[in-house]
Amino acid sequence: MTNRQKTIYVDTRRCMNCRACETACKLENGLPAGPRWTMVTEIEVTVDGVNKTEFLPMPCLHCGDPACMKACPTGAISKRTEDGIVLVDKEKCIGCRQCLWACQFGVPQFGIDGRMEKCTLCAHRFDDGLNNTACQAACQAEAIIVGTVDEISAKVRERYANSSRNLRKMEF
Amino acid sequence: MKKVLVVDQERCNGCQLCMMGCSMKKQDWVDFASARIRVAQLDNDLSLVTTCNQCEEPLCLTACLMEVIQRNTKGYVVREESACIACEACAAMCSFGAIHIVRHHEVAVSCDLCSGNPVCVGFCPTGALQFKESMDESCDRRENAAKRMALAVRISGHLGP
Repeated sequence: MTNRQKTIYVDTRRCMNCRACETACKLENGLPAGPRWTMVTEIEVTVDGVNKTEFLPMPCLHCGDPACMKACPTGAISKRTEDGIVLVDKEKCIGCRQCLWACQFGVPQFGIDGRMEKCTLCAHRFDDGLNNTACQAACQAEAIIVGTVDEISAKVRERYANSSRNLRKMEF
Repeated sequence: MKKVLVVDQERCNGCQLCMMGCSMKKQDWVDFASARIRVAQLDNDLSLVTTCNQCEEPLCLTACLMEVIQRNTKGYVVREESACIACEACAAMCSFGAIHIVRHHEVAVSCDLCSGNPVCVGFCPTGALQFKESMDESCDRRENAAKRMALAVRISGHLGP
């Protein structure tokens, strides 16, 4: 289970707040004005005495032990066994918003029909044989990586290796 | 979007001022048994606020035989209390225990958000109760979560979920 769990990784050094992920998400899932399945947050941080703004897209993190799933009184929220994606069944949802009060990340969204909807980690795209999400495909800076922990780890290691090789070239 | 009562359980300190305010508004005197909002004291020094969640598909509304429970023009679930026979069908169906029978009136009551201006929000000293749109609460929570992550990895100057 653990090594098949798909998750989303964001490199905030690459994110430049273009919000292409938000737009691509809305287009992919046909969302009207209102619900935002991912949202780029702006945070002011101090690094080495310098104030700067970091950007962090906040989609659903597809937790290993989701608090929303425990809070749901009707069992509308479920976790897929094959890749750990947390999905919601709108037919079962009664719109009581307990999932939003339970989620520390503010992920559950309520549109005009009042039922909960949230990031599906583009489960339909993975089912169709694609290997990326709409936000990942739209991110020009390649800040978003979606996959299992092993896949993300391999990609981040590769990036780090490339960057340190560049540094060595510059030194010598 | 309609505004709802946002309850932050972590902020509640169990002072029960919301119950006091609610019963004063609804009954004109302090009577915790008739309060629409309830604060339960749990064993492990925690308190739990239960109030009507204003569900989009209310089970109480379907359960009511007398059609006492209705949705008003603002979209809130309200009751015509004079027609209620206190059969407790709504209380049995509610998953949250938000419906109470006021014994000396023999009538079932639940939070009606004081027709759009809840008194309990003004009474809450810790800010655990707020009256706002769920979309605003979602944005606030996302920003707070991102800030927490930023604090946790401030030294590395790099953050990510």
